[in-house]
Amino acid sequence: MVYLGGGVDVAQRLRDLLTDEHLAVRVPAGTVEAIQSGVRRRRRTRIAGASAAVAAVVAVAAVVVGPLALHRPAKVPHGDLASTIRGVWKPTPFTFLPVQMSAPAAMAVSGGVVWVAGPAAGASGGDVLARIDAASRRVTTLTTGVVSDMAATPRHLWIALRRGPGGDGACSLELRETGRGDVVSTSPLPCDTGNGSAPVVTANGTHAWVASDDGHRTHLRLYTVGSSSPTTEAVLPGRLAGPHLLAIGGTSVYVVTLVPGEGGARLHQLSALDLQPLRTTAAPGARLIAYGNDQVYVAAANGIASYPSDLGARHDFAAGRVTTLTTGAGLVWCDPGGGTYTGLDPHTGAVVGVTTMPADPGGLLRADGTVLWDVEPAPQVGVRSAQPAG
Amino acid sequence: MAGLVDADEWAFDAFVRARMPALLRFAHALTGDPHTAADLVQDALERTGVRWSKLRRTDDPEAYVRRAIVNGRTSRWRKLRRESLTDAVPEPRSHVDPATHDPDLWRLLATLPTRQRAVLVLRYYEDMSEEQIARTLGCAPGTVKSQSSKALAKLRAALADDEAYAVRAEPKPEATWST
Repeated sequence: MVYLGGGVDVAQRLRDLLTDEHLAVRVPAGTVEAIQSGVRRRRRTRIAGASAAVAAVVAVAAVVVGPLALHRPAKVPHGDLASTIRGVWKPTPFTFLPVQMSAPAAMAVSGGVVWVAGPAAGASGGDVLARIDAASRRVTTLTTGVVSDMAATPRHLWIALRRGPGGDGACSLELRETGRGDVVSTSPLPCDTGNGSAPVVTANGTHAWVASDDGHRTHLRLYTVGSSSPTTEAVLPGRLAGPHLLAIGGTSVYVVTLVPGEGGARLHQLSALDLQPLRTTAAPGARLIAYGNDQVYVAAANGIASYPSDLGARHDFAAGRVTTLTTGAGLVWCDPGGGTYTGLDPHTGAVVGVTTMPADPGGLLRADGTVLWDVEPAPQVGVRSAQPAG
Repeated sequence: MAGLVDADEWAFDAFVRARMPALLRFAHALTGDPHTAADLVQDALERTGVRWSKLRRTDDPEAYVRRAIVNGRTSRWRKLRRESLTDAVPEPRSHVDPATHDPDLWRLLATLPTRQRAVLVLRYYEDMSEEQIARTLGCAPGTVKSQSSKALAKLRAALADDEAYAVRAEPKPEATWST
């Protein structure tokens, strides 16, 4: 291209020059593998270089941590807390959300930003979406459709909507950037609006996995940032068994469906990147699911079961009724008996952390790194965080 | 914590596969050379991979990679200026090469200091705001503003010089004689 007479501004010429077309690149085969190999090599070099320091640290740790190991909790029934509690988590004061949000419907936390969505008081067309900066507690409000579930990564927020903004009757998936909450794309989802179908979403990196049912079958789709079309889709028999029954962990995604006449809920494991089915097992009465520490945790009416990531076996993890189940800060968090939020050892199920935060039936709990975030509905929707005291 | 390690590796792999083309284009625009760009991106991603478990939870991993690319470019430039380059490697150009689209601007872009070039690439290719550029490069928004303004002024002045030279050097039209 020839530019004449200086009539075109440099900024415009830069925009014309710096385009995807002009900067076209070819990723040579094997580049990703070469990078992985380079990462391993650098790790080995770092480890070798630091071995003397590590040896010293290990020696010190043996002296300091040794006595603590004596108090490693064995599995105990709930109620016998005093001998096993290793941490009391104390909450900050509430940051209240704008009064127009009548109750929290979904919460997602990532990268120091907390997102809470809930119905707007007196309005039926859509929900209020609040963005809370964890450091400054500054609250920004936006509007969206009727939210069924949300998942966040540091750069993106994925919102599964029962109904689109402005009364649009169809389910959809909305992608927003986390800086200001601007909508990046919207994708329609299969759903059965007549029966209150509620799509669910979970996310990791630049991907989101969304499950929704059309009244007969469950559609599990993988979306990737940059495209509003699904990368791949798996169709599973039966309806989605509930609004909190999708989890991502390791290299798999887990979802629970309900097949009439086949003895209740089925827990499916699929490969996360191509959604190839890997394994299915019975999960009677499943109501909530969470993944952490290489385990899948499934809560039913009378307790929590744990499975290894390949669903090879089922173990009774904890007894009692819970209405919240999430993982974070190395623990499994729940509300045994509807009491205060409690952290369980991920391997033994023993209570190793307690909070002073009562679990309200309408509240939600999520973890971001080592910080717990709690949103409560009354008297005004408010958000607070908790960390181990001392 | 084997599960967390596996999840981290998987997430890093997914991040690399998803963002590699965009990062290569960014590095190409920054360095002016696709081969140097590939080296810089690989080096930056290896550094990122080593710190991935921490970065993916607390930071914006892509901003970290971009910063590593810019810093890598600066280090490489410092190293190379001690060596004497004789000539550019002859290489066939494709029809979409930026050097054939606007050769003057592409050549002048290469003469800017790395930071100024990075600011222009992030602004006009990545379409980032001043705050986003500042976060990516680890500097103040005011620095981004001044670097951008200096870089644009340099480019405007150099392009104006080029055009003045071109006008002077252009052959005058042949005289026509009327009989």
